[in-house]
Amino acid sequence: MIAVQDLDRTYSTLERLRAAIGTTVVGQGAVVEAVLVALLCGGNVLLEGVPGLGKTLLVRALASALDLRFSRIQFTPDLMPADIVGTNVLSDDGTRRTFTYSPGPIFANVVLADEVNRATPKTQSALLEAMEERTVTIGKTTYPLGSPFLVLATQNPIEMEGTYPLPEAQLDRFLFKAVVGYPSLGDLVTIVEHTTEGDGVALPEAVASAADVLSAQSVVREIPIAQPLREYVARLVLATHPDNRHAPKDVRSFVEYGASPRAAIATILGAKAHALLAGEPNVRRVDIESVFPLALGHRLILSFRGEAEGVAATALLSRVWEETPVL
Amino acid sequence: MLRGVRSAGIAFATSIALILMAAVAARLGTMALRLGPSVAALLVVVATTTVGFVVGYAPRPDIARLLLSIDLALATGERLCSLHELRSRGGATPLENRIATKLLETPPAWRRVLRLRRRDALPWAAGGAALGLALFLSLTITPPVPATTADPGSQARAAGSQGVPHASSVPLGTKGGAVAAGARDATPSGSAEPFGDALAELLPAPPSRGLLGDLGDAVPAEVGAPARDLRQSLSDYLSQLLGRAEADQNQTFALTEREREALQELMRDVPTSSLRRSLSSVLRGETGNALKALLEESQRLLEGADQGEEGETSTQDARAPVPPEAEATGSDLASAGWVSLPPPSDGEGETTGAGERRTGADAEEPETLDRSAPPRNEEGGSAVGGEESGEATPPLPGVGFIPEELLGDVGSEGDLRRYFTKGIPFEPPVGERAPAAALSLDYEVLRALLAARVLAPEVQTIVRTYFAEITRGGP
Repeated sequence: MIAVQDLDRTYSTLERLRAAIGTTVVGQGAVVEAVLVALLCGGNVLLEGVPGLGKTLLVRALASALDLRFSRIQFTPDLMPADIVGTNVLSDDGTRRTFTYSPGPIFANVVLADEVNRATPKTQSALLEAMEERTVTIGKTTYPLGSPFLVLATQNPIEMEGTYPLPEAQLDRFLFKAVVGYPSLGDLVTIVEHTTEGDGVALPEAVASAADVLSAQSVVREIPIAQPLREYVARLVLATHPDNRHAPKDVRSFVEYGASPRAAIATILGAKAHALLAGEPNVRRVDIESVFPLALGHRLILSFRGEAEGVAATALLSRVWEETPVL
Repeated sequence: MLRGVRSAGIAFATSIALILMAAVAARLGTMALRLGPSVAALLVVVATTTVGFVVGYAPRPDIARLLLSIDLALATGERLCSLHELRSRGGATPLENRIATKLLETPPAWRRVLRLRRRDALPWAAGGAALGLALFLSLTITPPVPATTADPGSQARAAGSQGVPHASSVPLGTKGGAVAAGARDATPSGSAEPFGDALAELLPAPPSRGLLGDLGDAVPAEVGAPARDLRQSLSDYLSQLLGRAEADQNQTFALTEREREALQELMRDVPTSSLRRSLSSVLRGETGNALKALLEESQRLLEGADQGEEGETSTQDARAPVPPEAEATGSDLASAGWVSLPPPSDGEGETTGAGERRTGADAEEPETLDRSAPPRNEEGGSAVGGEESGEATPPLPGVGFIPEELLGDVGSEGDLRRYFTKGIPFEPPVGERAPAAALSLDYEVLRALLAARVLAPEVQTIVRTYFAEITRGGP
């Protein structure tokens, strides 16, 4: 049971955090919001966008504002799992030699997996346990990761040569997939101004601690969502399945597999976090609408026809949203 | 399903109980309710049970969904259903107060949520229509209930409630009232008035006296029975006065003021001029033997007229019109033998119907007509205790007139009044087969009479409908 003080502190923390990130990251409000929501949910985010849009800067700004331990992993084809999770190394203290565990960069609070699709599937899979279980197993020993833990992976959608697309199981571990778009004219001018004058881009000061984040995460789970809205989310997710009788025609035509139950969990949890971030005490339909494409966009597996015709998952989700009644 | 059966059972039991209560109330006369036949009651029960089943079988409203729909309509940010969610969880949380506070911050547009959707209103409209139809049928499909099985008191109340004056409500305190009571008593106790309602509906205004007078001219002897009532009443009254005159040893016998008024009333409707002159002599103020002689003279004239009419009646056809003497009076009412009720008295006068004689001081007590009293025709005696008329023709059943208001004074003719008919002139008592002559109306004559009266077409239609109704479509 949360207290009034926890609630008020969470609201103020989130306000400060949003303002702090805003001083470094210009524009990209939706992406920043998606990252914050994922942070409040304790989930991971897949950021997709071409290089140079500020993905890495966003993650660094977040880690800096939260005073959390940040690590960056540049995924390359020759990256090995041990390079991520760590390995046992032989150490000699002069009397005897022993294997001691050397933690990898995964042992941080905020992990940036840059260009995650450039690593081999074997390396990519090294993230699976860390992302889902929040643990790392080396040999026969399992090491817990720090809390809070957030993986922010980026991938470049245009340079597909020499890449390894993330497998479905890996994609499903990401709470959201956010597409980072080009900044607007005004935002771009501001970005240029910030980076070409003075001392360049400065990371924000820490405005919150790990404890604040953990408190906020506990508050998120207390945010109420009405039973009919839960049913609504479930119907939305089921409507993405082509064999569902309520599925729109486009879904039946272009979707091979619909969203998994993790999609419903991500939607409801994300809606709660979104409501809290907006200063609301309860989940509204607009909160669900905000996180619905983020939570399901990467969970739809298009059919051959869908792939061939270049159907966008977001378009299908828009159709699902329009054709699924609330009651 | 089980809930539907349960609610249907409750509705069934409730409807049965209500019908039984209504039946008991109608039986006891505490409620002017005409229960329809069992079919109508069955319809009500079936409709109520069906509605109960549907209501019970229908899924109960989901409060959370209902609140969400309200939230969406009012754009309250889904706070109502969220508040319900928190309340249903139990336990106090600061979020509850936050939601309530935010809910009160923005005044909701209630008008948007109070719109009744067609799909929501349709089941209720259908149920209401079915129930209304059942009630309508139960109240309208009610064929005439035989009066022999109905409570006379409730009939009387029902008649009163429909605005049709009833004879039993008229106090009788004068001799004129006694005469009228004789006419009313021609209706057997508890006799049927199956077309009373039809008459009340068909005749918004009292029937024309003149028309009825003409009808009296045209109808056979049975139909002209009220004329005999007048003669009989007059005969009885004269006999009563003669009895008093003979009993008076001091030769000081004189008519009291009340007796004069009563005799004047009777005289007014006497069709025979000679008899009327004789009665006028009686009223001149003679006393003792002179008065007795005048009374005997009047009695003789009256008996002579009776004998003459009996002779005529035995020889003439039943459809023959009355002798032209009646027409010579120029009074339709008199020619038909109709008599009027005198104004209600304070208590003096004679009453009839019980077959007992009241004279002198006995007549000082007021009395009202009791419908339960044995009718004259059944007692076989005079209403005023006179001797048996001996006529084979029974008095017209269910006939009587009720004065409504005093319209004015027409010279020496006396008060001018308007009357309501009570009952159906040609209606036989229930259980009795109507005499053949009673329904042998000549419709051509009636039509000619109606045409001669220059009645308005709508009035003619009413009269035609009325006779078609009581004769079930034709002669």
